[in-house]
Amino acid sequence: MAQTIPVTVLTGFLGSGKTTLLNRILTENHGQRIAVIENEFGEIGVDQDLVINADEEVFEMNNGCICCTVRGDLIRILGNLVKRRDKFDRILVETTGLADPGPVAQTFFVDDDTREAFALDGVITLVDAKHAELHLDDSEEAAAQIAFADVLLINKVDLVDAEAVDALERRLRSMNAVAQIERVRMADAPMDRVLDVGGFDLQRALDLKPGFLEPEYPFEWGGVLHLDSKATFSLRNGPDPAMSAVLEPVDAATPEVLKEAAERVFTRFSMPGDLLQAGAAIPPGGMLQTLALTGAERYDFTLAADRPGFYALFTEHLPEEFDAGFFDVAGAKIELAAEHVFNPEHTHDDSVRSIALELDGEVERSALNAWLSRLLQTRGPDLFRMKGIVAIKGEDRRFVFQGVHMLFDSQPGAPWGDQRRASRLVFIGRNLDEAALEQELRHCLVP
Amino acid sequence: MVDAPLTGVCVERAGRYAAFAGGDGCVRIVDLLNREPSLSVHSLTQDAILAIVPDCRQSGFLCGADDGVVYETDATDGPQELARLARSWPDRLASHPCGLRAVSDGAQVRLLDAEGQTVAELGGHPSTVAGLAFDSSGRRLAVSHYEGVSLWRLDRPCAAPRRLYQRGSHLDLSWSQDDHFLVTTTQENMLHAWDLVSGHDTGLGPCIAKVKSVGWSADGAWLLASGADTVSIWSFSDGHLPPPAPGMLGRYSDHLVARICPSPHLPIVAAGYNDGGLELVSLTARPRVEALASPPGHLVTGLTWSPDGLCLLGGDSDGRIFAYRFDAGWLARLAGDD
Repeated sequence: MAQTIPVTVLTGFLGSGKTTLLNRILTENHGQRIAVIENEFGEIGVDQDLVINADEEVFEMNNGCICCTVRGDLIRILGNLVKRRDKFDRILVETTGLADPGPVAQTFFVDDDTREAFALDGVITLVDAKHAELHLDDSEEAAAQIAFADVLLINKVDLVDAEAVDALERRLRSMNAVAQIERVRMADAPMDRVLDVGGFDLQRALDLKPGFLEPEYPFEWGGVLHLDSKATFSLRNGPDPAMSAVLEPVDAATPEVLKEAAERVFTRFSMPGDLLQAGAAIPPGGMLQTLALTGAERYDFTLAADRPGFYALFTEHLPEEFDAGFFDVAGAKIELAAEHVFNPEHTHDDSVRSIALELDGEVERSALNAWLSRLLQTRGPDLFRMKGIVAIKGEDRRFVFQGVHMLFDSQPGAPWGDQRRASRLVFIGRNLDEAALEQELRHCLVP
Repeated sequence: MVDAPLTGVCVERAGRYAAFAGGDGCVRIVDLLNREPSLSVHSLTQDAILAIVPDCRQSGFLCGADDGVVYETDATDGPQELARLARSWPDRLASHPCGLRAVSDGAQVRLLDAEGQTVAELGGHPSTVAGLAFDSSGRRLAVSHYEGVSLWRLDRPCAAPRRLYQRGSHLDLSWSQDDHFLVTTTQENMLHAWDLVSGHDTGLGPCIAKVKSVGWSADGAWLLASGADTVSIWSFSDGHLPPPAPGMLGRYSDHLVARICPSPHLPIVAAGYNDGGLELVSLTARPRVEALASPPGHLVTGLTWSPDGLCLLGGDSDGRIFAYRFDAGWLARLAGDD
């Protein structure tokens, strides 16, 4: 069989920079012959390559599978491209801003002729750093585009401040733990990050290393201050009548030191704290203190530094929500030497997220098949992408699989040799119950 | 040998010349009366010829190319441009000897007369047109698309077409010789058949793979299709729609039948496989199989009989083309009852 032609899918909302990226790929000096399949509203002017306008004709397969929609126009266009003498080295498919990438991806699972000649290489989703949060808040399609992506390009990062990009990246990461995330300005992504990504290549599923977020912390904020002596932590009324805090001495004002301190105070936050009234002192290295914030306009607490140095303060909520400030004994404002916002998951209520399951030991093939097929039948519409490497009892080789909604592809992977047998599965979906999925997978384990 | 896939093959209505269309933009024409066949090469375009059918006239061919142009060409004259589509590919074509040509143009169908004048534009289909077929009289044109078929009355092109509704994406179309039945291939490894007299319809299949090729036996009693490891066959001999499950004709192969073409006169079907195998199978109580070409080879992408039923022509995805001339007596013996 002749080699398959890689197909790259570009998605992203209107104005996210798809066309800019498309032009970058086309003008990059890679010596490849590229055919572009554009949505009907596309307006690029490139003469060196073939540009085909597509109508995005999505239709439902008549096979009883409710979520199995495919792109009829794509089947036909690709079918016609195969007939040419001068074959293309690569195909780029640009979707309209509002398009769900599902039908495009499913086309490569469902249609035999398409599978035979083409291989879906990756879904590249462009995310507009400025407007993405808004799109994600009110559009199911935007969430689907994030969930389907192999590569997420946060574009126009120069137009917003770094913290907003950090926050956006955390949000994207919580939705899709598998995608590579790149920050770009004018869609200026390195070509090797967007081409030949092998997102649907089962052999490369072995590289599966989901990038999960740091664990959730019981506090939202931590900041490092340099204190010469006692200082004042001053707050106003905020969204809550009380807020927990811990003061911890640290060696330096670096992000690493702050994170290490966060780990140290983690358990202290889960214990009940003393209720402190305004005017009381927060001792360094002490247990959890709950600052009472009722009955007045302004509350001053003493940060009881016993010697000059760096101190990390961790608070349950963001200090800005309480208009908080730090002042020395002379009443001068103390600037923060470092700070970090923790626990970003609670800032958005995205129903789309990633779940990774890791399990030592071997699973029973029949039990795994039954579980996966039931899962796809019942949850298929909510499952955007899934990938996994599974240790099956009696099999010398890894079982690798990947899927899109109800469609599923699997094959034997590399041999285990003497490596520890363990399974690793990642699901990206809507309203997934991690505990239930883990328990169901556990039931497949060989007793 | 062509350095691009064969994209279509057909024989003109008069039966003398056969044409092989290629992904290199050329049509190769062979004179079937000539015992020492030689090809004359007609270059139509730089890119691929997407479709070829016999023209409505007795001689010549109708071609659609991926430059958007519909060409008419024959053995003696060079190609003539009949129509040029602005933003779609004329990849579905049909013609009728009454002097009509039908060309797909996105979700529309352009109807041209024998002079090449556009006589009607049939629109309003729910998706891009995927199949075109005139009935035997030339009075109706069936157009397949997403969610079924539109049947246009060509004597009243302004009237709304009769819609035959069925979920899914319908691709190729085939009328039974008596226009009683209409069959579509679909995206789902199934065929769908309508009884236009009774109004009933049924799915036929499932087959193993997408059905790329469908046709009727010379006596109209059998529907034959590709898509399985033998030729798939359904009986229409009692004038009713058959049960869905296909019969299997011929011997099992490790590969799938990619193309079939029933003989126009004898109970014989030619089958081309996706590994290059080529067979003739008799539609007899005990089917006889005659292997013409053995694998390994390439996916058969075109297969047709000459109108006299003596020549079988075809080719594959690697650009190999073939033309067999059979002895009439030998064919009759293959087709004869035991």
